[in-house]
Amino acid sequence: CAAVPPQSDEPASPIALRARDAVDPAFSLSGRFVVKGPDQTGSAALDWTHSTRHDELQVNGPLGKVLAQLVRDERGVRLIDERQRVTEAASLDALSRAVFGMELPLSRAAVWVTGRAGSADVRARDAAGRIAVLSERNWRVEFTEYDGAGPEALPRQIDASDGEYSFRLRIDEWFPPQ
Amino acid sequence: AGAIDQLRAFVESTQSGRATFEQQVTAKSGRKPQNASGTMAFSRPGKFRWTYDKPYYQLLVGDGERLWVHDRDLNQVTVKRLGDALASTPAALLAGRNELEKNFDLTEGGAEDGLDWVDAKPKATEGGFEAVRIGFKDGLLRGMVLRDSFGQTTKLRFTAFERNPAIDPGQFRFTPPAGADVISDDAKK
Repeated sequence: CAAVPPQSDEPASPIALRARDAVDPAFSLSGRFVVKGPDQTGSAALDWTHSTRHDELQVNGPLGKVLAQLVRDERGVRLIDERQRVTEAASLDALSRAVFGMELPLSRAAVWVTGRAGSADVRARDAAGRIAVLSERNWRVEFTEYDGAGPEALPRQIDASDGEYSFRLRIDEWFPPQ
Repeated sequence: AGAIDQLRAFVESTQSGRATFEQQVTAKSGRKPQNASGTMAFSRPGKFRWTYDKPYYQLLVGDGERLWVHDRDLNQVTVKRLGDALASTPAALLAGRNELEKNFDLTEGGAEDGLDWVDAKPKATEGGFEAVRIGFKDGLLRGMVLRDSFGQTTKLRFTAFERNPAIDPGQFRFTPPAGADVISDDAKK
């Protein structure tokens, strides 16, 4: 994929450092999302822990109650609902509609959320050189807010759309905290 | 008095209430717990206002019929029938029409952290919390612990509890702010 231009040497968060160097950086975040589509709209909180071998996306309702959990690990990919019913699938993306109400390219989004393009095309950068807009196939992803001013800052709000649905993710906390 | 007696007396004598709360959510995976805080008020039957100030503003209003959730950062209001939500939010437990005895099996939960606890096991776990503990001290509601089917635990501590304060009924109504997106988050999601 596209080589990453060298970043400045400003002190960076451990995640940002890993994000800059690794093609597929490990991270853990906590945030809120809104899905809007022709027939499906909804909003909830999201905790997402990602590494190359493992993903856990947990959707939480009010007062911290888990509504659904999406897990990818060495045993495969599965969705667990509030009644602990398990649905297996080949990929996270295949299960994303059942969790978010729309198809989401979760494997690619795992790179985008750290402010990196991965295989996507960078359409625009902001004054600090960070990605402002990227696109890949029918997806357009806008980084509407970053978690600070520096070039190493991590995204705080991301708006993605595939032309039919829109998905807004607001990231409240990156773990480990900066 | 035993915790169940305190609970019954509390339910009997408390038509409305107001308190500040601290909330801590701990995932089963033992990840860093997430803290939140704010204020809550309720008026039986079925009305409550749960305001989160930290880590971000979020408002939950039960107006007796529907649950409104307002997220200011996202400029988003979701609304759904209170019936579905009633079983799943502790706020609703407080404001329910004596739902507690009807929907939960109550047993003495012993003393812990200076509170007398009632264990409330939901009779039907249709997507609500799996285990609920309600903590009292001197007859006043002080704490709640909620565990869901994933083992995630929400701990609540109530302070400055006011019993039967006069609360402006407008507090239990919600009108979406101009320009906010109002979406009905249907129950099946």
